[in-house]
Amino acid sequence: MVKKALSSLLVLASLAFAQKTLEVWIMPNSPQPAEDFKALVAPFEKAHGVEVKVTVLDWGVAWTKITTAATSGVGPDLTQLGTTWVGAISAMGVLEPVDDVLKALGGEKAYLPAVWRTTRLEGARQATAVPWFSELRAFYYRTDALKAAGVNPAEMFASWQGFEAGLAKLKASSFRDPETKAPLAPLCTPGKNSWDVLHNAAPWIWGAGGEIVRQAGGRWQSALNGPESLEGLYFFLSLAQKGYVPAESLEKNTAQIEADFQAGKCAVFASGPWMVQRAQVPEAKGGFAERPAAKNLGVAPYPAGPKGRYTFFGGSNLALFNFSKNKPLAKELLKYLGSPEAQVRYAQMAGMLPGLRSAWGEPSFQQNPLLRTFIQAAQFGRTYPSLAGWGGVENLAVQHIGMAWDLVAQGRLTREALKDLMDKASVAINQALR
Amino acid sequence: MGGLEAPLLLMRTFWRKYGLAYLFIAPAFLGMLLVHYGPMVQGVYMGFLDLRLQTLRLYLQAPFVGLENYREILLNPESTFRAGFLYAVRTTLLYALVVNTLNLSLGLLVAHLLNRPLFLRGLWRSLILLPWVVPSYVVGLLWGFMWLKEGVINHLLVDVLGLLPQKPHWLIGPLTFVAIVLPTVWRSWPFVMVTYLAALQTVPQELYEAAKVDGATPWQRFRFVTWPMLRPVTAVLLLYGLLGTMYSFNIVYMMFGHGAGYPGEWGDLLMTNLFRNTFGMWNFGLGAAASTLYMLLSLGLILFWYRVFREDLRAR
Repeated sequence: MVKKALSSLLVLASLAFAQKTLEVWIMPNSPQPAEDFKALVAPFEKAHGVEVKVTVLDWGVAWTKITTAATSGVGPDLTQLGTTWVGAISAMGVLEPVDDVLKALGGEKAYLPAVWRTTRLEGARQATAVPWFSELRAFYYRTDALKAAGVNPAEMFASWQGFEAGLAKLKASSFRDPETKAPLAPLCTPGKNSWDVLHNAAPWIWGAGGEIVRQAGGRWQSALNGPESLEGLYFFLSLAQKGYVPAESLEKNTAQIEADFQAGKCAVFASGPWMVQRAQVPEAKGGFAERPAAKNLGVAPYPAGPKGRYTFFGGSNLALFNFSKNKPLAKELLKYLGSPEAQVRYAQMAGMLPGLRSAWGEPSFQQNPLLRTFIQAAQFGRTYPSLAGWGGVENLAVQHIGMAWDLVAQGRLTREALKDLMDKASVAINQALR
Repeated sequence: MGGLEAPLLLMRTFWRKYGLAYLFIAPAFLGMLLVHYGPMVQGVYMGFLDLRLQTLRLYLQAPFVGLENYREILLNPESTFRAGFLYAVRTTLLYALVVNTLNLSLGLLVAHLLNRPLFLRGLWRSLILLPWVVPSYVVGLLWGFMWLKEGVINHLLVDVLGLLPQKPHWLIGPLTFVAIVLPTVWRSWPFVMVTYLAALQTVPQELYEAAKVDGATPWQRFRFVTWPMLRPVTAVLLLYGLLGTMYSFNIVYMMFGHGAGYPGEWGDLLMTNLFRNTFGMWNFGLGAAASTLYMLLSLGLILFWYRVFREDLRAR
C-alpha cells in the first residue's frame, strides 16, 4: 500500500516537474551560447518557477535536427530559426500560430517591414515566428587608409560610382598598415567558398533594380537573369576583375576574410554588426581590439545603386512547435524573449541588433557611432521572400553565382558569360519553385 | 506418415551438418538486415515517392509517383539535377581513374622498396602509414588551407623552389581537380602499400631462387613471379579503391567552404552533387532515385570488375 502510494507520488511529482520545464534549441549566437542564454532567461525562470533547458545546435546540423524534430514530433518547445528558414518550416505545418504573442509585443508597427516579413510563410495570414535578433550588412572601412588615400567616406559610400572611384584611389595609395607594414587591399570579399555568397551579391542586385525571385501571374519565378539583376551582379563581380579585390580573397570563406580585415590586410569589407563588438574585445578573448583595424574603424551603409540603396537583412526568429505540451508557458517565454529588455540584453551578448524596433533607441546602441550607422542602414534592409522552397532557390543561386566567381578568378567574366550562367540558374530555380 | 519421413530425415541431416554454421551466421545476417538491407529497400522505395519538404511529415506515406522521379532525372532537360550533373559524372570518373592509378602504382613501388632489408624499416613503414589514420574530413580541411593562393603549397612551389613563375589558384578552375586528387592519394596510398607489402611477404622465396637459376632478369621475375601472385590482392584493392572514389565525399565537402560553396566543374563529385541536390533542395524522392541509379552504376562496375578478375579470385 505504502509502495503504491509512494510510486503514485513519484509519478505525480515527475508530472509536475515535467510541466515546469521548457526546452529551447538555439544556435551558437554569442561567445558562450548556453551560459549566455541561461543568464538571459534566469529572471523568467524565477518569475514563473520554471526550468528552461537549452540545447545549442551548431549551424551545420541545426537544419537537419529541426526538420527531424518537425517530422517526428519529438523535439523542444521552442526553437531558433534563421529568418530564411521560417517559410520552409512553417510550410511543414508544425509551428503554432503566434499572432497573440506578436500582438502583445506591439504588433506590426513594432517591427521594420523587412523583419515583419520573416514572421510567417509568404502570403500566410497567421504568424508562426517571433523576431529575436537581426543582422544586416554594412561596409567596414579603415579610417586611416581612406584618409591617406584622400577618400571621403561620405562620397565613397554615397553611390556605386563613388564606391568604385574610392576603390581606385585606395588601390593607387601608398598607405601601409602600421603593424604589418604591408599595403592594404582596397576591398576584400569571399568568392564562392562562403556560406553567404547570395547575401553578398543581393544588395548589388537590388540596387540595380533587380530581384532574385519575382512573383508573376501568382507564381514565383527566378529574376536572376533579368537585365537589372545582371547589371548589379556584373558591377559587383567586375570590381574583383578590375583588381580591387585581391585574387587570394576569392578562394577564402567568410571567417577568413574577417580575419584578414582584423589583421590589417583590407581597407574595406562588408560584414554584420558583430564586428563592432569584436573590435572592443581583446585578441585573447576572440576580438581584435589591439589591432590598428579596430582603432581606425568606420562603418558605412552600402552605396546607392541606380535604383536605390539596399542591404541584406537577416537574423533569427523563435518558433513554437505545435507538439509542445507547454504552449501557454512557452508563449510566455516568447513574450519575455521578445520584450525590449531581453532583446537589448541578448543583442548585446550576440553582437547583433534587436528584432524589435523600439529596442534600437537603447543608449548602448545609440551612443556607439558604429552601431548607430548600422541602425541607420537598417532602413535600407531587405529580406528574401519567406518561401517554402527558399532553401532550394538559395542553393541554386549560390551554385551559379559561385561559378561566376570562378570566371572572375580566371579573368574570364563577361556580360555574356554571366547571362549564360544566370539563364541556367533561372531554369533550375524555376524548376525548383514549380 | 511415411511420405513425410524422407523430407524430415533430410532436414535433420541438413541441420546436423550445417545447423551450427547457420546459427553463427544468424546474428550477423539479422544485423545486416536491420542496418543495411532494410534501409536500402526503404531508400529504393523512397525513390518512387513525391517526398519533399511539404510531404516530409508523411514520410513513407508520401504520394506514390511511380517512375516520375527517374523520368525527371533521366529525361527532363530542365531538372535541377541536371545543373552540373554531367560535370560531376566526368570529374568522378576521371577522379576514380587517376586516384586509383596513382594509389596502386605508388603503393606497389614503395612496398617493393620496403620489402627488403632496410635501416629502420619498421619506422619508415609506420611513418608512411600516418596519413591513413587522419580522418578524411580533417584531410579536406587542412589541404583546403594549404591550397590557398597564399598558402604553404604555393609558397613552396613559387617562393622556395621557384618551380612556377606565379602562384596559381588551386581551388578555382581546372586546377581544382589536382587539388582534390592529391589529398585523396596522400591519404589512401599508404593502405595500398601496406596491403601490397603483406602480399609480397607471402610470395615463396623459392620461386625467386628458381627464377634466378633459370636466368630471369629482375623485370622477368616481377612479371612472371611477383605479379601473378599479386593479382588477387590487386583485384581487391582496385574494387575497394573504385568504390571509395565513386563514393568520395568528405575531402571535397570540407575543402570548399564546408559544403557551403560549389566546388566547381572540376571539383564537384557525384556524392557532393547528390548531397547538394537532395539536402539543399529538400527533395528526398529525387535524391533517393538518384542514389538508386548510382548504386546500379556501381553494381555494373563491380560486375565488370568481377569478370576481369574472376580467375584471380578462385581459390587455388
